[in-house]
Amino acid sequence: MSDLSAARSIFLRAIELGSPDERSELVHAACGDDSELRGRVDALLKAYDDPDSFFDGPIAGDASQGDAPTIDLPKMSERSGTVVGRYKLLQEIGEGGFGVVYMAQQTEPVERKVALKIIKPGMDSRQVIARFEAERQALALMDHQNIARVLDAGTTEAGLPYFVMELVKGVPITKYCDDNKLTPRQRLDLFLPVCRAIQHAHQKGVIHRDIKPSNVLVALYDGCPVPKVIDFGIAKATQQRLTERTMFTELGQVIGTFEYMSPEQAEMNQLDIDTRSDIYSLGVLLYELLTGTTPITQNQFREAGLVEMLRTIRETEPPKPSTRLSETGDALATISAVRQTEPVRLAQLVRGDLDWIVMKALEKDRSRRYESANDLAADIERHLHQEPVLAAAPSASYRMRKFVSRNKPAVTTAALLALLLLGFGLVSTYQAQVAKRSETRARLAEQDAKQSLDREQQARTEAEEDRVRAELAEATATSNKEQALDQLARSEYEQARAVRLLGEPGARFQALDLLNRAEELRSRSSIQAMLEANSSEAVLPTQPELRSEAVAALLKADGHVTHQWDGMTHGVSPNGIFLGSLWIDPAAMSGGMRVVDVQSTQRIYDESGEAAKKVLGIALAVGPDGKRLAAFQTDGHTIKLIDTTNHKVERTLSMPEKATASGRDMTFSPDGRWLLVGSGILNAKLVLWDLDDGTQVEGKIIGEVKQMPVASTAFGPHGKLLAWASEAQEVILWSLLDGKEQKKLGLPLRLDGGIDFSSDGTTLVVHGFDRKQEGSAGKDNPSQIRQGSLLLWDIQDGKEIARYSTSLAKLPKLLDLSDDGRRVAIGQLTGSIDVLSLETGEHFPLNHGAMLQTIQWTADSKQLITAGPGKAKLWQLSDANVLKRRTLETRSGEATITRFALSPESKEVAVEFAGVSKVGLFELGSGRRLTELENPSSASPTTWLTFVPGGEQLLRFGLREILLWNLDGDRKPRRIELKEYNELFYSVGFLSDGAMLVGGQKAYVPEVINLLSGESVWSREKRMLGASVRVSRDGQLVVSHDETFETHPRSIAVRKLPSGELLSQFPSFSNAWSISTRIEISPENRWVLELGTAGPILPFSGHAMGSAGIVNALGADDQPWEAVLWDTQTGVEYWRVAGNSTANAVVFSPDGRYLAISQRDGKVLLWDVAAKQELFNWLAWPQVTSQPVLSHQIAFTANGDELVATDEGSPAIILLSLKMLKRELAEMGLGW
Amino acid sequence: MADVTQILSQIEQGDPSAAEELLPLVYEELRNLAAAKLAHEKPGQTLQATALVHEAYLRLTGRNTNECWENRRHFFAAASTAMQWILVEAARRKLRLKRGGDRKRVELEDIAIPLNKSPERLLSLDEALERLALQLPEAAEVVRLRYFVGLSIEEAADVLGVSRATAYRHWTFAKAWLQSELDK
Repeated sequence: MSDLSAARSIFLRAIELGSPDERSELVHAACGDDSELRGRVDALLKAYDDPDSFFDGPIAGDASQGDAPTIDLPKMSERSGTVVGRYKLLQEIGEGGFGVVYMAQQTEPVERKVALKIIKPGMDSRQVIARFEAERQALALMDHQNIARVLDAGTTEAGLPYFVMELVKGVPITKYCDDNKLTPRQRLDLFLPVCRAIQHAHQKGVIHRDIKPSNVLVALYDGCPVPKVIDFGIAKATQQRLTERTMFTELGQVIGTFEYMSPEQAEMNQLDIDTRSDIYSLGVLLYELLTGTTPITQNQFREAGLVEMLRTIRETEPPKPSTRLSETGDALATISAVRQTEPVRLAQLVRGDLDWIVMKALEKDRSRRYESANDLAADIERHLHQEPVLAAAPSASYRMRKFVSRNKPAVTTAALLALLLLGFGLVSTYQAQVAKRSETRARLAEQDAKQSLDREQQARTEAEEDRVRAELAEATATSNKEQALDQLARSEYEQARAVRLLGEPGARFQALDLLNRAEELRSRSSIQAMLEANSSEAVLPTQPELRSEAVAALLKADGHVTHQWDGMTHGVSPNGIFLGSLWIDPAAMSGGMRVVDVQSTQRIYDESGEAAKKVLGIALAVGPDGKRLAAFQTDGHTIKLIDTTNHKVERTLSMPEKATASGRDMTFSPDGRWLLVGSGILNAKLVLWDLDDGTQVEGKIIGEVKQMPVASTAFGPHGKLLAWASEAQEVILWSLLDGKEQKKLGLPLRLDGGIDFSSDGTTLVVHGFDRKQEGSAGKDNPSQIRQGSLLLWDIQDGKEIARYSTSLAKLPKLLDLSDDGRRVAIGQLTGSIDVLSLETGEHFPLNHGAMLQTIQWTADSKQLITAGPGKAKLWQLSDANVLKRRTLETRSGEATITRFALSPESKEVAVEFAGVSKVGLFELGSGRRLTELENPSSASPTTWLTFVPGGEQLLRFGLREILLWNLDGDRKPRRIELKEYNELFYSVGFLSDGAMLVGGQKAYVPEVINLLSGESVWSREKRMLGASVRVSRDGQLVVSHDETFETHPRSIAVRKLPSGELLSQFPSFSNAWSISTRIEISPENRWVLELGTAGPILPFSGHAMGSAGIVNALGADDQPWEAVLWDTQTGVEYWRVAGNSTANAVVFSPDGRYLAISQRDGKVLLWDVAAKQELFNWLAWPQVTSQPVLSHQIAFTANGDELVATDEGSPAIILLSLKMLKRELAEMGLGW
Repeated sequence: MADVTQILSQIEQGDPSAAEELLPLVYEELRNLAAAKLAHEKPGQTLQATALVHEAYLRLTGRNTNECWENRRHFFAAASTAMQWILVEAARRKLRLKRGGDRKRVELEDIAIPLNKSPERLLSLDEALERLALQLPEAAEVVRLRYFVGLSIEEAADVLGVSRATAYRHWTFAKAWLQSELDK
């Protein structure tokens, strides 16, 4: 916003100033370093100066009728008959990049016709004229038959500079040559005088600066073609700097100029232009005359920006003319034909001398070009006389140097080496060749015959050299292509990320698309393995990266348009299968109607032309089977029912007299029996027809709705009921069978029109505003957007079922409930739509982008049709089933979840809330509250909650105590104190006899005790360092640090219980640099995981020994971590994983396949342990926190299908479906 | 007729949501007029956007646009948007025909009568206008009024309730901005 405002104010100030310099100064000062802003302002000024504005002339209709808007910008183009100075304009004869050329009549001192060129606005006339005057003397000195003389210059009354030149009635040289099919030889003959003309000008001290075909005209004098160079002195006078060239020309003309521009002119600071710049442009002209294309082609310029174009001119080495000819493919036939030469012969003709002549003129380094235009001409003449030319193939070493410097980033070390090796070989053979050739030259006079032999040999050497170069180039190209593909994959990935973060509507789908492409590229990349091995240089996105991004996109609720139909107005069949559209083209005076099947997009009815004019409506409705189309006629009171199968009008209905107000909307009932019309916009009359009753012509007024559109009515599913919101707070139920009002429902909302039935007909869905809210907002501030509500109302019982808040303004609503009852789409006239999931309460916005008149789910409830003036759209919507949020039925005060535990079957969840002395038990599927348990220890910290395997007991591990609830019994907490233990408890093993074993350490001596009896089951009987003690869930194993203060290296020991027999032993993670913070045993005791800090411990970031599911990270800084998995049986290292932010919770899936670790940065990282594969990360808690968040807890459901986490900032549990994610990702090739 | 007068007076009384209701009404009237003309007038004639708007006003209020300025300003605000839709819709259709979307011969003859601007340009203008409206809604509105209703800058200023100088600045800027967008 601020950007455009800033640009606006600078622009408005700048246009007050007259000269471009002043403007440019102002823009420069105002924009400072902000190049983007500057670019914007420049573009605005350019557009302002553009005489060919789109805004000239009316937009539709006949301009001569006078009512159309005209433009108040001063038109620059002068009309014929206008007198400019001493000249009378006769006719426009051309328009160039920076001006318009007229043929003009000079009356004094002599009467003659001249060419008069008026420079476009935007330049300071005084300066232009001053520069012209400075060169005038030199220009006047020029007198050459191939130069059109510049006669005069001045300023028009409008203040625009103009130039007067000798009138040349000719065509551009390239056109002349092609039109007259000149042979290469004839072309060279015509080119020579051009060189002489330029030479003449150079001798008089005039540089042309803008040599191009349109400035070299060929005119016939006495039947002979004579080239004339025009526009001398104008480029200089108008001082076309780069910016101006772009500013004053349209794209095509920019290209036209740029192609002939010398490398030094393409320098940003081009003060230093000399005659050699013209030599370059002559070279380009010659190149084009021979090959039909310019050295740097238009295509190369087309997509490039200014800077890129200039870089191309400065750096791109063009192919030799003969090479270009052989590359032109199909076009070669045409190019040869206009040169009256066989294609093969043409390339032969050009190869050799002409190649080198042209390339010498085109040298990037001007000191290597011909020194003068005469030298160029002389070499061409030598070629024509079969004499050796001065130009020669550049030496191999020179070219190699250039090759390497041009390709520096791309040439790999290996390629460079190969190049050098080959190069040496080439240099030596080449030098021999050079020696030989000079010898030949010395004897040239007497040994003419030898010359051809020499040429042949040279050609062979060149061919060989070309082949080597081609091979090298190919090798480099292959490697370049690989790199480019990898870059492309990376860029698709980055784009996907950017699109998602930007979050515009449709972002989800766009991002997934991009990721899909990135994955395709990734899977094709051949150097993938290499890059993955050396990840620091990885350009190619990795699969986990792509998956993580895809997961993030998949979690975004969103919709995008998959199809769109035009039409002034639309009608959707009540089942969402057919779409009727009416189109009118007022300018063409045509119109028509069509009906399409929305899914297949197939047209089932299409009428236009005269036939359509007879039935053309202003409102449409389509029956459920698509066979019947209702068209409201322009007379305002009749409706034609059209049979779409035979295009016949099957019946004409009429509106009752009392309902003829403007504003109409129509719909069929779902069974097709009823047709309902709403007439009027305010207090619209509802008019109904029973189509089964063949005798009914006039509709019956059955009621009135406060506002249109007709969507504020709803047919019941069984064809019995019709409902609408009558007054603001009442719903009328109308019986279709009895033909009278059945019931009035008073609802606790101020309704705004949106209404629908559930598909079983028992529930009404309505939208409105809370009455209280509306009252308080009052009339003082009517524009204030109030929170709307969606209400589900039980019709039978007359009570509220559920209520959801929406974010739509208080405007008439359209509403449609999907047939599967899962989602509601609520729209309003302005085009904004809210899609609400009745399952999760989540909603996301869409925007139709124009006025909205109809909203309808498709029959399968998966897509949405929105329609209004101009367009109808079919939306594909994301189904938010990958992530489910279970809002818990909480009591007041229960706001933040500190711990939760899933019951063995994952049907229930036990939740401890911060500061609440109860532990709640909830149904996981619904969030419903089941019961609650006293929690006398709520004030002291919990390490974790866990159910016993049978689910009949719940355990809470706290500071030196464990609480135990018997859920089947009295549910009173039983408290077991473990005072001697100086560690929190993090593991418990359950034996089949009901015994529970916990491991801990007493004064650094590891021990396992029977929780209920307090007996010691096993003890190490020695003080150990870092004495973490874990008991496996089945109570069969104990894993502990097994390091006395003396032993080294430190180790972890796995022992059997209760015997204490050593099963395996392996080195501990802890060393001088990092500390071990966690030990976990995977389900079924397959692996032992030890997690520790990666690298040196950061100050204040030590991880306290954590609980199951939680590592309490204490510091403020993120501490990267690493974890090692060991095979429990063998003690062999199995795998290592790592993360970059302080580790929080560590959990295995019940089958032991997946490992999930949450981090302080809010991410949950997921691995497939069985496949040793990193899967993805999921940002479960997006809010950035500087403090460790203990409530960031995670768990797997019993079947391992879902990853469960606490919600951020609300008392809810979120479930991420791994099963669905896996399926969605597999579709993108990102499965596992 | 009653509806429009009623809505206009509601707007006058300061109910902004009433303006929303005006739009469908005006749109419908315009399209109604276009369709009616289509059915009754000879082919070959063109409809003029500005003339349509003025006729719609006459039909909807029973008054001439030249009288009672206060009342017509809201109407024109709605009409400019409605007319833009109609023209853009026509342009889209034309473009589709050009690309061979429809094959009916009759229609191909119809397109011989062109919009004065190429449909591509008109569609680009439509999009650019939407973008402009997001940032400088008032400037976009001036363009609409000027362009689709044919009001003078002074009249547009009155419709929008801004000074003439402001309207001119909006117009000058919007024109340059749109042009630069179209040139992109």
